[in-house]
Amino acid sequence: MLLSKKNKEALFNPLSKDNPVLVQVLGICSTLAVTVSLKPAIVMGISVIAVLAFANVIISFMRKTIPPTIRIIVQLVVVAALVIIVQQVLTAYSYDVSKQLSVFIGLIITNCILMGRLEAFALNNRPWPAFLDGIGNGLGYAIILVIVAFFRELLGSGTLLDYQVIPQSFYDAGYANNGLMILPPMALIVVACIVWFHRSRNKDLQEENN
Amino acid sequence: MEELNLFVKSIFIDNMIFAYFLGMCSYIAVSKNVKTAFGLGIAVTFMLVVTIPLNYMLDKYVLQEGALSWLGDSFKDVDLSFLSLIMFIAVIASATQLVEMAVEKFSPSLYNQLGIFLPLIAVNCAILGGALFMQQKDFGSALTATVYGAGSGIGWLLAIVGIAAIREKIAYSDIPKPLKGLGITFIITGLMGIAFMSFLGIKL
Amino acid sequence: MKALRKLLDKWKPAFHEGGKLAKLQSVYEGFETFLFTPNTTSKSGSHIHDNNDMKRTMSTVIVALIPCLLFAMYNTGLQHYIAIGQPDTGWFTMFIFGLLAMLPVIVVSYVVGLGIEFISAQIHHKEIQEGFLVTGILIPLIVPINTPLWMTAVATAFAVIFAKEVFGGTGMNIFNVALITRAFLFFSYPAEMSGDNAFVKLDSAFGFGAGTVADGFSGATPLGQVATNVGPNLDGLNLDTWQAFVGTIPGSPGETSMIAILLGAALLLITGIASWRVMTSVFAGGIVMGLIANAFATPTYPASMLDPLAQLCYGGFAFAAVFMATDPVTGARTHIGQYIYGFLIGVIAILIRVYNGGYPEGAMLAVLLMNAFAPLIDHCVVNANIKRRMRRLKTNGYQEEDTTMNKNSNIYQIVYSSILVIAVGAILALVYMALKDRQNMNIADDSRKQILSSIRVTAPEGTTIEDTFNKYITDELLVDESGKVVQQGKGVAFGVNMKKFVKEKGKDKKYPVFVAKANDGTTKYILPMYGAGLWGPIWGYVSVNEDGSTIYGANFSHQGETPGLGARIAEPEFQDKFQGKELYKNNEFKSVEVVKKGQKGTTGGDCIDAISGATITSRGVSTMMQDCLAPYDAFLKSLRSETAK
Repeated sequence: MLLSKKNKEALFNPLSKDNPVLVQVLGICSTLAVTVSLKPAIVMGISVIAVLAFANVIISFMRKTIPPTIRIIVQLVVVAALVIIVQQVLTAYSYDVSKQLSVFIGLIITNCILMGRLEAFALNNRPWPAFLDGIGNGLGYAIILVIVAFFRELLGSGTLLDYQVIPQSFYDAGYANNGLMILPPMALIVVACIVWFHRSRNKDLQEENN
Repeated sequence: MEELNLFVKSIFIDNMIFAYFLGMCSYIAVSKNVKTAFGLGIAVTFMLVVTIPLNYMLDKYVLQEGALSWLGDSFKDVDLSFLSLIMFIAVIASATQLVEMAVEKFSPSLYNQLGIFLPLIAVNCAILGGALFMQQKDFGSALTATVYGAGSGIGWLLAIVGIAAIREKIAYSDIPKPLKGLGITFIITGLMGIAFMSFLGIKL
Repeated sequence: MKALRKLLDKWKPAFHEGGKLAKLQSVYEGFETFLFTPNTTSKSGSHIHDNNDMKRTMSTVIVALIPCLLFAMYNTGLQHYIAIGQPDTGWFTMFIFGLLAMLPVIVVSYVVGLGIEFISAQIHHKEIQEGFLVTGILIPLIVPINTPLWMTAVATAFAVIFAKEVFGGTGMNIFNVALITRAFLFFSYPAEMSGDNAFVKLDSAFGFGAGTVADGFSGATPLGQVATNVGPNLDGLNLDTWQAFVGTIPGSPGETSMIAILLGAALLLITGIASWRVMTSVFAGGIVMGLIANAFATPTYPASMLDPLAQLCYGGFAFAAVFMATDPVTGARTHIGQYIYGFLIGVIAILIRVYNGGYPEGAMLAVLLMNAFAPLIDHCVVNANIKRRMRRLKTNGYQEEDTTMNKNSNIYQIVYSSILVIAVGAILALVYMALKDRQNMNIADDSRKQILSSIRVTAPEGTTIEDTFNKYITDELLVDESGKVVQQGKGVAFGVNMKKFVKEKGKDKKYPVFVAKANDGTTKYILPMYGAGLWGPIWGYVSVNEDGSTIYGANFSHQGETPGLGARIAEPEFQDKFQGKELYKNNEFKSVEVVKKGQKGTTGGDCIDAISGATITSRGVSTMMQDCLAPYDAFLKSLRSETAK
């Protein structure tokens, strides 16, 4: 019951088959913004997993009372309140962490993954499956973030997690970091490459029309 | 004159899509043909023009530090800015709802044109982004804020119909199967992003 | 020829189905169709778009490019020999030098490009298209000659894969492949691509033309010179329009000679390969924008003072107009669309050139931008046409169909939402009030940390920030714009809310100053600043030595800049650069400017390298320093005279 087939699907599908970024087309804006280097990508990924899981649970508890026509407002307000309370508590008790996250707060609230999953899953499912769905989607999203950030930081700055990885001898020989990699257009192209790879392996995800 | 400057700037230089990459999700998902893209673009512009001045007034007279002083001197130090995010979201979502009801009542043909797009707007991060930028940029009047909103919306509209036209054109192209649809759209957007960098840094 | 044909026929079975080398069929066919006209009709790709024989079109374009190519080789040699101080070398020697210099680039371009095309054709079992033959020669003509070869290779690979192959290959690309190559290079490796030495080959080519560069040599192109012009007019520069017309100036190899370009244009127009509509519209657009720029000419935008017709000879404008904008695949297809497309290219190219401080040349980006919108332009033209015809039909009684939708609403939701809003608001308010004091304490401590960081002090473990702060900060002042100390005492500076302070207007503002004793024993003066970054506010503290000019240290913070980019202003790597910089030059306040790598400063004061990829945030720092520190002028000057005593 805890990990019934349906729950297993909720947890594991978003990792690849139903990946929020590659398949559902959610969370693009933040994927472009925080993947310049690995560290913020990892922080953002973890934050989204946490927020998504708990928001899913809360909305799932409330789902029978929400009037359908204003459900979007309700979802947004609840999520925003949750995130803001977390931020306020952090500012009071762990200021350094809150400063690191302050940049991401706005990006988390408006992350369409949140809205998308609340709409598609939390509104129609019980809290435990909703929780798993949140973890699964958050994880699927975080994986993409890490992959994109890996390439962008490596090719764009020659470092990984701020440690220089490309040996100095390369630079001396004339190699130069690719400045375009740290800009958003290349992030899109990197994601496109991931989609290319992903859909070559999963042929059923390929679309009919251009 | 300054309004004109701001207007042009917010369309091309501070373009919501290519400078800030806001509103990407609906941009990529709804750009399959020009007609629907145009509809969504108009809807987004409309919502920006409606919500930005509303949020501006809200910020100026309720949220900012000292904004509530019109209620009385004792409220001079109240700073409700921590509520900004929620209030803006609530305003946008409610405005979407109200506008939907009003349009349905007073102009059914327009309502039919916009169709499903009106409710979709509430979750467009370009609208919230617009409100947050407006708060930062600290405009002098509601009119200036509205001009900014109109420009941002038109910039978004231009971007989405541009890519929709491209997607229509490549409908018969030999795109590798794994890239059809989503993948090629990302690539086009990336390349358009490179082209739009020409505007980055123009100071008018 | 007949012998060749017989040989190919003999080999044919081996390369087709069932033959031993069947897998390399497309390679075989590639060579066959290159050498002979195929006796089959093609079934895929651009052959749908254009019924002109592609081989003939491509060949004509290449012939049209020959004048540019030949002159490019000569000019490369010319510029090189001028650079090494031997301007009187024979023209043939110069030509050979240029040939040798450009040969590697041409080879790299074709090998990489055609290589990828061959591979693609193999994978997709399609025939090879000759499209790359033109792109392959365009690339060496527009890429600056000093570009490292590996960079050109990477850029070409990127462009061929992502701007051509993924769209389906020749005839289906949306963006001009050669320009994407150039743009990729420009944005990926900005240090090597801009600046004055990218356009003139300084080392020898295959051992030919060795020499040392003369002192004081500048390989600046005319536009590069204009862009860095600081005077009220352009008289200081010697821009020879005739030279620009002939092309004996530094620049990308194919772009310099107007004469060569015009020759090519003539051939393209006569054979009907290029659209005269596009070409003329581009030039028209450029002239119009040049005139407009003239009308509003100011020294802040030096290029606005250029003569509109002379403008056309500089940079890559003419080349783009004749060879790039006219590419039928990436341009507009409808006639009206072509006028609009071309005109906008011209306008935007000059617009970028004049008004964007970051790019002295804009033709490349203008074409790419219009590539993106060409489908839209065509779409609108076609639709306008359709609408006109529909109107004609309507008068004959034809009606469009009707679509309807439905919705409903109720009162429960109004009540629900009100309760929700009140409840959420109340919870948030309670949380806020309960935590406010702790939060404010943390925020205050954070500010203290930043102030201490500006005098290179970090609070040691085991002590409170406040104690360390009180130890180092000996006094706080409020000064007015005349430099007079208006108030003094603990907390007067710390209590100033910088966010509100910068918004205040008025002549009698009181500016905060922190007086500190640094670890080197001398007194420092710390000045707070507040400004705007890309996504939100930025702020910081700058500490100044007793001489009122040398910066001892700086600390910057931000609220929401991009991690890894703008957020880097808060890192020591960026902040440490300010140490030792001077705020004053010749007793005049110049502040410290943050400039993009490879560019020169505009104020004459000290400069710091901007963070790559974070232009706006970096500029925000520059502006913040200028705006916030300028009012301290009198105060800082008074410090100077104090130390002088």
